[in-house]
This record gives sequence, C-alpha cells and structure tokens, in this order.
Amino acid sequence: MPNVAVVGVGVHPFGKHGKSVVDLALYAVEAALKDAGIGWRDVQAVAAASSQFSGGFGWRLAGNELIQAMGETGIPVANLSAACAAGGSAFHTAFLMVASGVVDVALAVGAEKMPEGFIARPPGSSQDGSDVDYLRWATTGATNAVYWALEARRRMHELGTTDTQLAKVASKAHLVGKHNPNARYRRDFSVEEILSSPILSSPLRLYEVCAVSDAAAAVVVCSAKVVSKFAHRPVWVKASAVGTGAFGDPTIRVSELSSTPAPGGTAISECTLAAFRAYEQAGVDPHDIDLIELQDNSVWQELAIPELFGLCERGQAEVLLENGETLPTGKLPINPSGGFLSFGEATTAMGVWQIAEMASQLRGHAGPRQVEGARIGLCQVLGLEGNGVVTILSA
Amino acid sequence: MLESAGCAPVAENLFSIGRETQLLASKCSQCGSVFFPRRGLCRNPNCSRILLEDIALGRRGTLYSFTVHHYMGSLPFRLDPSLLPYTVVLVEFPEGVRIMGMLTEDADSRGLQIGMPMEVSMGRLYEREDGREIVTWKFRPVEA
Repeated sequence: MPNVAVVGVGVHPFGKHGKSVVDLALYAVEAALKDAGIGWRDVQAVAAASSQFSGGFGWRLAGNELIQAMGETGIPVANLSAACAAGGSAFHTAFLMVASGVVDVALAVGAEKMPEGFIARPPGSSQDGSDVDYLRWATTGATNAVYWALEARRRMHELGTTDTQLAKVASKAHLVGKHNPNARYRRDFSVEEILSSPILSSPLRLYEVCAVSDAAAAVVVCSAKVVSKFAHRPVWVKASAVGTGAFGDPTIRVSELSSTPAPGGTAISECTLAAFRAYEQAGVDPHDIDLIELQDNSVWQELAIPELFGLCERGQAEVLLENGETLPTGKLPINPSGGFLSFGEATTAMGVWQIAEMASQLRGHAGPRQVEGARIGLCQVLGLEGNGVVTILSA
Repeated sequence: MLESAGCAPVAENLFSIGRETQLLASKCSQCGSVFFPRRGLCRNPNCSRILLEDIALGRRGTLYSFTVHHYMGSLPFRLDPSLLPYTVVLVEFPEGVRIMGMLTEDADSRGLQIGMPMEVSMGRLYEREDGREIVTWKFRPVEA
C-alpha cells in the first residue's frame, strides 16, 4: 500500500533563458507549492538535485541556496548528485524522507542552466588521467552522442532498424510535444525534415538527439496521514527504485572507454535493475504499465528501453512505433510529454520534471496529449557512470 | 608511421608507443575478467578483493559498431581540425572486452562493416605547441 503521494507539481518552461539557476528553481517551487495549496513554511524537508553547471555556491549546494531564497526555516536538506539522474535521486530521497515517517511534507527540486552546445564535462573538472570521464574525451572524442550512435548502429545491424524508423521516433516526439506548453520545440518535424538534418554522429542526425535547455521542476510529496489536507486528488508513489551499473553489463556506460560483458549480464543495468525492483515494490507486472516517460537523449533509447523493461518483446519497439502504438492513443504510450527531444535536456531537472509530467497525465490534466484511462505510469532517468532511477506512479 | 621520438601519448598507461602498439589492460586471476584502462580491483562482486594482473591485449579484434562524428567534441578533446569528421569504432577483443577508439586517419569509414577484423594502432590527435605530435590509440581494418 503506497504511503507517499505527489500533491503538487511545478515546471519552469524549457528553453534558453536569461535567468539564473536559482530564479528558475524559485519559479518551479512556487508553482509546485501553489499547485499543492500550501506555503513554504509547510515544507518540512528539501531534496535538491545538485546543479552541475552553475549555482550552489560552487559546492553544489542547490538545496541550501533555494532555502535561503525561499526563507530560512532551518529545515533538513539533501543535495543529490547522480549526473543526469540527479533529479530522480532528489525525488527518490524526498520519497524516502516521507516514507520513513521522518517528515510528512517534502519538496524535490531540480534546476539547471546549461552551457551552449553538447553536454560536456562540468566546469572546473580536473585533467586527471586516472578519471575515465576525462580520458574518454581526451583520447577518443567520445561525446555522449558517440555512445548512443554506437548503440543505434549496432541495433540496425542486429534488428534491421532503418534510418526512417529512427527519424519516426523524433517525429512522433514532436507530434505530441507541440501540445505541451512547457516544451521548447512546439511544432511538427516531418520525417523528411529530420532525415534532411545534418548527421551528428552517424547514424544519428541532429534532430534525433536532444538539445540542451535551461529549466527547473519541483514536486511536493506528502504522507498518507496528511494527504486529505491537499486540494488535489493525489497521485500515489507505488515504487521509487534506484540502480547502479552492475558487473557484466554489455552496454558501454557513458564516460567509460570499454565494457566487460559477462554471461548473465544485464544491458543498461542501472536502469533495468531499477525497473524490476520497482515492479516488485509496486506489486505490478510490466503489462500493468499504462504509459512511460523515458530518457530519450536520442531516438535509440526509445527503441531499446521498452524491451529491456519487459514492456515489449525484443525488436518490437519499431513495430509499435510504425503502428502508432507509442502515441498517447496507442497500446504503449511513450513520452506523451514530448520527451527530451521536445524539451531539450536540463540535466538535473529531468528526473523531477518527468514526475510532474506523469502526475499531470494521471490527474487527467494533459489536454490533447492525454492518455485515456491512464492509471499506472513509469518514469526512467539515467545518469552517466551507472545511475538509474525508476519511479512508478498511480492515479 | 609516427616514431616514438617525435610524439607523446595523450595520457599515460593506456597503450604502448610504437609500431606494434598494444592496449594495456588488467586481468582478474580469479574470474578472468579483463578491464581497460588498467584498474586496481576487479569489478566482479563475486571476486575477492585481490589485485589485478597487468596484461597487454592482443592486437586484433572484430568491429562491434562504429559512428562517424561530424562535430568537434568539446574540451578536453583536442583534434587537428583537418581530421574532422572523425570516426569512433567499438572493437570486441577475444579476451572478452569491448573497447572504443578512433579509426586511423588513413582508413576510410565507408569501408567499415560490423564483424570485420580490426587491429590496434597509434594515430595523431594534434600537434602540441612544442611541435610534438600528441597521439592516441586507434584502430584500422585488416585482412582476415
């Protein structure tokens, strides 16, 4: 029986803004508090994703900075680091704070102001030859897109996935995302337009890899004990699970130069293990999941992750896509928010943002993107060096 | 081919310099797992915390996947702009490890086919301010 509920969500629209990371966070927090119908003084704890590129006094203390800005109530704070999964860690931590009974109302927040261009090493990172994330850049020019492209090329080889199918994933994302007021790219992108965008890292084209955005997201969670005080119909946290990379995983983890596959190894293990932990925690099977929000840094992830999570058979993601089954009206709606491809990635905000998007679906507030009868939704984020977070929410 | 006197590796302890370049890896004497770059302890949770053995990998593997990257990677990556676009390949070694690396500058990415034999080599990244060539390990296709 879930004992933690999401009762308020707030998102700062995604884009390139002149605002500081703190101002982005304040916008999202104030929106989440308003949505929950509470004031700042009702918040008993904060779990903040540590922004990677600015703010936090240079010590990644995003939560402390937020508390100073909102008013110093002296409440407990956790500043979480898990690369691009840090928003997921922040939500998980807020969940644990409430599930444990230590507090009744907690706030999870993530905000990020991204440097221009593709995601790089955070500022001030060392030039240390014993740091594999330094080495992958310096020795090989292995951008994040290189990893996704190597996986996409291999999938094409093994399963016959076509360039057109890769483009269709991106086109589908925009078909949905254009209706989301918080999305950055709010127009249609035809398959032809995507296929005529420049190659970024073959076979992936520029429009098949997510951009980077500035944004923030916040959610208020509370215990079952106090949930009746809140204005909204609650969204329940059926499971919140974290995974790390496991030995034998054949996938090359972003930031590494190699993988050591072993018999029985699990692909994208940090996320796949988290997903199966979440199913167990929630007492659900993959076929109980009505919709998913997954981390589509590139179109490849949207094809690879559903089969790893047991949501479809291997190689069937392309078939579901071709048949329109991954649209909000289909059998397995994927990223009815529009996904990272429509929003751009604001790294540490994303795990919290997914919860906000999923909550709007489960409340039935998603307008033209609404998945009819959405009851159980799964969210997934992945951070480099083996950080996975999977959340299952229910109406 | 670059000679060791005129070049410097981009980082230490990753590959041997010279005509017969080899990648420097670690092998667990308990489970046999091979890791690159070298590391101190085995990542297999079933293994005791014993120190790994230093090995040099054989020079040949097979192409597992590849990508041609059309934009300059960001710092700390430095590459002579004339080498753009650059190709990154993933090579599966018989020792049980898959390793990424750039394709040698003399190889044509259009000829790459997954499953083809590849050989480790050394290649240029850029010329340093003191005139030295900075090199990294690279891979090139070879006859079966």
